[in-house]
Amino acid sequence: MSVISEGDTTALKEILAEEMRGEVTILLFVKIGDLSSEDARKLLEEVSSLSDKIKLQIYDFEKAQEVQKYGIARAPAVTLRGKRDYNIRYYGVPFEQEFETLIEWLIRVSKGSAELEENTMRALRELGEEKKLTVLVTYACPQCPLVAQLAMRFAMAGEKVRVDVIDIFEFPEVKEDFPVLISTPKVFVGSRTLTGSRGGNEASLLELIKTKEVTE
Amino acid sequence: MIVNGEGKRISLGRFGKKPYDVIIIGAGPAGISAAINAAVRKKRALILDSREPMGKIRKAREIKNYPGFPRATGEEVASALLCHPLEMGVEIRKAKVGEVVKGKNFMIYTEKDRVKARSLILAVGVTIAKKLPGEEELLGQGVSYCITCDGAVYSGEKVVVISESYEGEEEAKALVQDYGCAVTYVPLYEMEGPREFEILKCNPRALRARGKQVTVDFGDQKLLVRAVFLIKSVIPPASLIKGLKMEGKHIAVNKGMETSIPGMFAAGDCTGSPYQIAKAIGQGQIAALSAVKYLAALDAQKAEVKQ
Repeated sequence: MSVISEGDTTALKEILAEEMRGEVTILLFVKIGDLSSEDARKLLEEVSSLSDKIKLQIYDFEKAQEVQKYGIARAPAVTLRGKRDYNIRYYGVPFEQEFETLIEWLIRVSKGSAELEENTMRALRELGEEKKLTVLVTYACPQCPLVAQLAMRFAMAGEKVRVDVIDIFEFPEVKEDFPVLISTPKVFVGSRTLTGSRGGNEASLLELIKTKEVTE
Repeated sequence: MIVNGEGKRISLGRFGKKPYDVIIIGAGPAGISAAINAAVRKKRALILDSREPMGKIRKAREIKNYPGFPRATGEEVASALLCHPLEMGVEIRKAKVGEVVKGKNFMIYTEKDRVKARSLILAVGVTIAKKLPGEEELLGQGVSYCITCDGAVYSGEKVVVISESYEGEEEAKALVQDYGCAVTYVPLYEMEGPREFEILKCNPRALRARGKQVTVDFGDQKLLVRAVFLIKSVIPPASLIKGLKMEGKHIAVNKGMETSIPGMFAAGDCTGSPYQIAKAIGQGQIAALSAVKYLAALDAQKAEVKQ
């Protein structure tokens, strides 16, 4: 049985035909025999059949050299390549609400455009040091796509911005890596954080990135 | 427990269906009237409400001052009002709105989904919800309003659910069955009978952080848990959307029932007293007609850009 219904397939083919510009390669990292990896493979095979502009490459997380090249920390993991690698990694399977994030990500990478405010674009281009944004989501959370998608656009605008979107349902142990209790969506830059839809506000996220970490 | 892949589907989100012309939050008299008038003007309308529609009116033994219905019971008036939009094909969906974000359209976040609308009418009634000490500070850090979002985060852990209504019971059940949580359920309403989870009939006084745990203080006893889920009947309007101007506990509106946010209107008790059905219905109509006018202006702008 298909994950994407016939009606949704038709709608998505039309949207992607209209919106996509250049080719995009989906790189999927899987663990052999892992149920979630199998879910991800099935979903992304269907997605890649929606447009001639989408290619899919599947790598074994335990063996492939690309794991190191792309800095993949766990599987299943997804990244997209367009004209370049935009340093965005999605850990988990983009089901339900996060499916929108995947489609949005595909379209943006194919266009190579972040479409942020000019001052945000400038600030991100001029970042002096590397900034890593970790966005914690769950696939069923309605507010999470807003935050994940904005963080992805930040990575597309600034070559020094790296984004990890992590589905906490898939990787519950990750929440122990952070000093505070978690609810989703949540964005971390170092120990600084934005909670809820505030992470989906362009000015707030830019401020979070620009604020210097205070070390004791 | 949820097994990988089982029951998981996709949501097209913003790539999905066209936005509604008008979404109305609240299925009371103001919301119903707004929906009827939007439908009469051929607008695609949706009503969202998490509560039993017309619950307050249904409780009235007799309504003496609603024109055309002398000596009617609350139940009679409520049923007549509710049938009207349904007969016109307006959908009434049971969903609790947690947040609204204004972009090109209004994105309305419910506990399980997102819906888009070109205009919005708030008919949410008056709320008397008070926040617990510590609630605001700990929101997003161990305190959550959304089990759909955060239930999975606390799989297998000890949590407290504090609920203002029976809806919380289903949510608590999901925490136990889907996520294997050890739930202590605190009903802030009359609740009877055993459930799949532990029930604690005490009033919480405060929430405090303690390392990566939260203490729920009940006065004579304290519970130390990993997360606290607060299930509220209604989210106060000022918490729903940023920048909404209030006048005390009511939404500030002009004569056209326009709020401080373009495209957003309000009607009924949430705009102030008198808290009367006839007044709410009148305001609902004005709000809908203002929304129709707003949509026409949007369409005219679009047509101009195309030319």
